[in-house]
Amino acid sequence: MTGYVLRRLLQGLGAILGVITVTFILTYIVPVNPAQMIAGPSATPEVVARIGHQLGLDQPLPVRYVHYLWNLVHFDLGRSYAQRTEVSALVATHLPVTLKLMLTGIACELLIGIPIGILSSVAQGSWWDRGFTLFAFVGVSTPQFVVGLVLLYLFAYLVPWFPLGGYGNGALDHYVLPALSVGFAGAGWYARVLRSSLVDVLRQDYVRTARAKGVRPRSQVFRHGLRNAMLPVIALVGLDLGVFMGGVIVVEQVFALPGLGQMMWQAIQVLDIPVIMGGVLMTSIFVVVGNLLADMIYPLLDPRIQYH
Amino acid sequence: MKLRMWLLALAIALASAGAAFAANSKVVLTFQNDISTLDPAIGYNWDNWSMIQAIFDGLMTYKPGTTELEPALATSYDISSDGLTYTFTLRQGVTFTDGEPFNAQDVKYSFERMLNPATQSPGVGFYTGIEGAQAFIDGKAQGVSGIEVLSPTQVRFTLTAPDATFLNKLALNFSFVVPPKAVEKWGKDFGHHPVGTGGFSMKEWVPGQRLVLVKNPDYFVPSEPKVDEIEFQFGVDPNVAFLRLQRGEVDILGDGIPSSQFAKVMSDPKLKQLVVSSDQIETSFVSLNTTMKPFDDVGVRQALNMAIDRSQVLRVINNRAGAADQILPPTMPGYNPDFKGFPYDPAKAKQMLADAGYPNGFSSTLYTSNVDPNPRIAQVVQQQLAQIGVKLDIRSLSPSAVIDAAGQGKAPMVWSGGMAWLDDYPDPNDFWWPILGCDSAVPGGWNWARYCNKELDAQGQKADAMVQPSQRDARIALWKDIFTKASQDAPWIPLFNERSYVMHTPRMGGIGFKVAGIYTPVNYKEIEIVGGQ
Repeated sequence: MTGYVLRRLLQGLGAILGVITVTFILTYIVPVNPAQMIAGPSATPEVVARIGHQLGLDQPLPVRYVHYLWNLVHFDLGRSYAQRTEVSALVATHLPVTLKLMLTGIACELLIGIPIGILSSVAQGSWWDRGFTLFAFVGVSTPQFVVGLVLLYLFAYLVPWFPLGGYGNGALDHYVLPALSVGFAGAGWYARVLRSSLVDVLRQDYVRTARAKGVRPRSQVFRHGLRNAMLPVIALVGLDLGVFMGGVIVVEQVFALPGLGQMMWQAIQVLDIPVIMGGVLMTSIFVVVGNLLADMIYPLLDPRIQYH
Repeated sequence: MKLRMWLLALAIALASAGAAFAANSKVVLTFQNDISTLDPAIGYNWDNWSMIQAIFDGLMTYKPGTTELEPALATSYDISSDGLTYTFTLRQGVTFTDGEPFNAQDVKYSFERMLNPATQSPGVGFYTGIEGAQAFIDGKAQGVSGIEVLSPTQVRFTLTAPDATFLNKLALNFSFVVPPKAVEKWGKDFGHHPVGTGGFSMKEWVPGQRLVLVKNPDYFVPSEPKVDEIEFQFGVDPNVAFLRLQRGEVDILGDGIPSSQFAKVMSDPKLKQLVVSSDQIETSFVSLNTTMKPFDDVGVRQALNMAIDRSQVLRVINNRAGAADQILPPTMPGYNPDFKGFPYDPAKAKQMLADAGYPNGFSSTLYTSNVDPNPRIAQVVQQQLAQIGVKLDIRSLSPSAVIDAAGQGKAPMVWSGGMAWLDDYPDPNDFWWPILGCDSAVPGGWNWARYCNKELDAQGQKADAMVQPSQRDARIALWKDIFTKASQDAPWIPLFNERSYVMHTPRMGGIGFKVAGIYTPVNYKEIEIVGGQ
């Protein structure tokens, strides 16, 4: 098991390095001179050139790349061009917001998706099932920002239960609607996945045996069925850590949450390369760690799965 | 069980949400983007520009609500007859909000800090006319020889050539005075720990969330500021801010009225009275690269000007602007009310194209920012020019990519929307040297039309040498003549002059909303609470 984890961690590091490299080259290809952005409209070409030199932009790509990696190894993410502050400080203030949104979002997915999945698999083919199927399709196919705006309009403007966006002091009430927005699509997805896997599992021999020996229906589903049927859902949760990083950019924008998404969005607009790089780095770490976590939970749920 | 806990949490959250907003005397503003810095030498954005004006002061400022200059940290000034030296007598008894006294040495220090290349100030270009500034920037001198401290209350600037807008430049943020001690203490992070002599001091700044400014009780203008505290909330979507304003949770929309709500607001008498509109000193234009074929032909450029029905363009932006007929906006001194530009006449435009040797039109490329509504405006231009046979290929890129391509002189046509030239100070020469003068028609320059008319440049220099207040009228008349000739030469297709719309709650008022092209979005020192909620 330890060997497996180490191997996966190394693979993950490789993946992160790859992402960084590609992003670095992309920011180099973009036909924009960050020095010009910093220098502003009234700057003379000499001033632009001087700022470019200070930032090391006049050095060849490989030199800049090695320089960046060297700093990264020393946990130095560089200084933001636009904000004129350390990128690590920016990440430190924005990361907790995104983490909280992610966790509450996943909680929403599970709390909505699992009950629906169970109900529709048990009551297969009923009107309930069809209603839930419809819900799932609507959920999966509605963009998160639309859900967000509709929720905001309904439950913050028309019926002022929740704040109209913003972060406040980070209290939970600011997270309810954003978490629902990111979780809505996932909930539909989870419900569908859980329904089909639970339907499969409940048809298996061991469940029939359980039923034959008189196990109560509730136990059949929860003790015997769900444990096996949850595996694909767990995998999805792990993947979601990565997928969410895409969604939170939009949702954080709609709800004015000062998370990584907002940090990235603002940085991209002004081509603040160090901040973009920092954001991409964090995102890739999320994806790698999420996948790893999902893989490690498998054997705990299903003793048949073992890693070597 | 889990579900029940979730519901309980929900209930608690709901209760706390209700208690969160009690009546409050402070003013709340929202912006979508976090501000980058409050360093006066560096900040150059729509959102932080006037925050810096609230925290810091320069030697000069504008009379509230006007474009009339008056001394701020100075009490008086004297201009030599050759227009080369400016001697300022400074205000006495002024302290920075950290308690340090202000004196002439701080003025010199602040200028040298701003000019120092390590500061990376975008404003350096305004001050290279000070004697010795260029040598200092190039590292050839320890200090700027043209800034002399005569006594603790007197400072003298010497210029290399007369500059009629030098006083305007001393009212720009970049020239604002910073306290040496605090700057040394915070170093590169001074922009996040600003200390000035201004009407407000910074109480709190949580990046990405909020900035709180509180009134400086010792401010040297006793009548300012008129509110005790201003809280800026960041990351607020303009649509959400608009809803919150109607609930009274937000006093002023920093980013203006969202375009999707604009028509609704202006047709609702109750909402409309909460809107203050002001003409910006701005022109949005399509630049025509005069060094490229066929735009090197003035007939072609004039023909394109005639082919555009500007009212169609204005419709795209809900008429949030006035149609432009020349380079200078009507709010800028030097605007020529008798010059009617090139009225819409597609038949004549087609004829002129034929005369210039393009009876079947030609093809070209129009660059535009990809931020809405600019691609839509570019499409209107595309459709209208198609009527006279000019086929445009639209390149919609990020603003920075457009600025880069245009600055390198690679773009035949550029729609300036979203990147347009806003005045730095209300003087016509600010619309000449950086965007139409020969010196700016260089790689990285902002003269996207690559327009270079040596004769008009020479006249401009002549106008800028008229520095005495008594010569002002003659000077403006000369600039008016220059711009009329340049407009006739049509390096641009001027489309419109933007209006800015600020929306506030009924309780807000004051002269601070009259921005005169100087404040963005308002003058924080002059906004006041005039009524109940």
